[in-house]
Amino acid sequence: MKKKILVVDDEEGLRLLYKEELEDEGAAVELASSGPEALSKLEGNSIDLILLDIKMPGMDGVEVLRMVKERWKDIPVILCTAYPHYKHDFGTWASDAYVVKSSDLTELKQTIRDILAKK
Amino acid sequence: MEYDILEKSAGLVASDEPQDTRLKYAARLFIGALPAFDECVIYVWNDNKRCMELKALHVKKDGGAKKSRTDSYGEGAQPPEGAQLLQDEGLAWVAIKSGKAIHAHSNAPFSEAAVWEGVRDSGLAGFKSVYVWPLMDSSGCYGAMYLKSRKKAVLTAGEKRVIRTAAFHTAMAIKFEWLARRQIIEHGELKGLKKKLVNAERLMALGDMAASIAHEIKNPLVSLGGFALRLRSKLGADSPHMPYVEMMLAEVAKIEKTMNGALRHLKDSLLELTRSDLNWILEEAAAVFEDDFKGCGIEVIKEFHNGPMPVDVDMEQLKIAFDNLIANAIQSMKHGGTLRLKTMTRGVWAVAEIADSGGGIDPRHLGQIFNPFFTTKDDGTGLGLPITNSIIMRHHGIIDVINDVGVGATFAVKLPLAV
Repeated sequence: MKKKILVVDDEEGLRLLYKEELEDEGAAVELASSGPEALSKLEGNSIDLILLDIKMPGMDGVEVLRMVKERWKDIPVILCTAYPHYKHDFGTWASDAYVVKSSDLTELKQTIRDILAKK
Repeated sequence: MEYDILEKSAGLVASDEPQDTRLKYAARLFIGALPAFDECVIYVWNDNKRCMELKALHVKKDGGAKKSRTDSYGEGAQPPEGAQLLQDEGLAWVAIKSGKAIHAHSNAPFSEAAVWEGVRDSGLAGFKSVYVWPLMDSSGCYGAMYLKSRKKAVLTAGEKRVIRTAAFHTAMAIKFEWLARRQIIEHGELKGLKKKLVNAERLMALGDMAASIAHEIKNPLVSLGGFALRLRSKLGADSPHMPYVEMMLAEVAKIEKTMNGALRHLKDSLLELTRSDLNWILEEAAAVFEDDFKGCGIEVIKEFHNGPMPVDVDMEQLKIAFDNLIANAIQSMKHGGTLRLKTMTRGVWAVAEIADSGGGIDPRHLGQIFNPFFTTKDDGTGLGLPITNSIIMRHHGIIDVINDVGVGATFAVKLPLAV
């Protein structure tokens, strides 16, 4: 069965990029452009992994992470951001991995593979 | 006589004349008012040399020729005999320590080796009566004044009171001159510091702006680059469009590199301070570059302050700052040289100096080196020094650049010593 990945990012270009790249890797991809949208997608779908942006208008990624871990503590979350320094933010420690955004998605894809293999 | 001399000595305090002229005038005034005395000598404390220097000497006219001089031996020259009184030397110091005038009398003239109350004073030689007044007030000591007579001369109680007051006026004249001089120096320092601060703040604002622009660019850039990568894998190596895609990828990579540099900078606002030691920080920072030192033939000389240098810093931030400075130094010495790493304490500062022998900074560029995106290197982002400056500023420190054109550049990082 295909693994289902939920991509949460407010940048449309990035959502599309992740979708195409991850589908090429054989995953099914759900998209959400905000925190609330991500939470509602989680209600109706069985998601295997969440790719979560930190800096989003309204509810930010750290807040989404906290809510996800309260209700769906078994779904791994990869935080994905332009800032390297969030690594030191306590709020991000609950995530399963932390990837700094880059146009080269090799590291991200490897991280996804590693986490899904452990599940 | 009494009111006359007091009026004149009080006038000394307010006078605009240079100190030497005022003291010469004072010495002449005392000898003029006290005909029994032959010579008046005034010494002034020199804080740098830690001694008292002869600043005025007035010798009575009759008998010998009139002699009146102020000190004229230059900086570094050997002062003439009696022109200096080292600490604890002579009766002047006895007067200063007791805070009272001293008088020494002898029936025969004092000899060169004269000792009075256990203190040797060659200034007594040839005189029978010598009075010494300390020039001081409740907050400090400014010098001493000698009145000497070849005959035995004793001041009346009234005369002593008058001279004591006139000596106090003389002390105040010296003190006011000191205060005025110190004010001028401090004012100059403050002006310089203010200018530097304004400049550093401007640069910090520029750096922050660069960082926020970088963040806005980063996200679209990742999708640009990401799709270009997809294009490359979809097109296949033999596609005639491939060179355009490669070009896009190369340009995106270049911008990404700059952006990452600027984004590191964004962290600055969140300092996580821990107590550390500047010696250790510099040592750690340099350790990372061991291979580069060897590779470029750079000799590293460490002159570390022998003692604790506590500073409250964000270790990761400071590491970035020192990494940048050491990396710059290495880049200036690609064909070998000497890197001098030095630490010291200077007043409230813990100072770390990074000095290269890479020929120094082109004076035309010196004013720009802290500007974001200014670089003279082909592959530089122009963010290293602005970020370093911003980090040090946020630690309430300051960076001094000492540029020795043709020799090398020294970056002195000053951080407040933790208490």
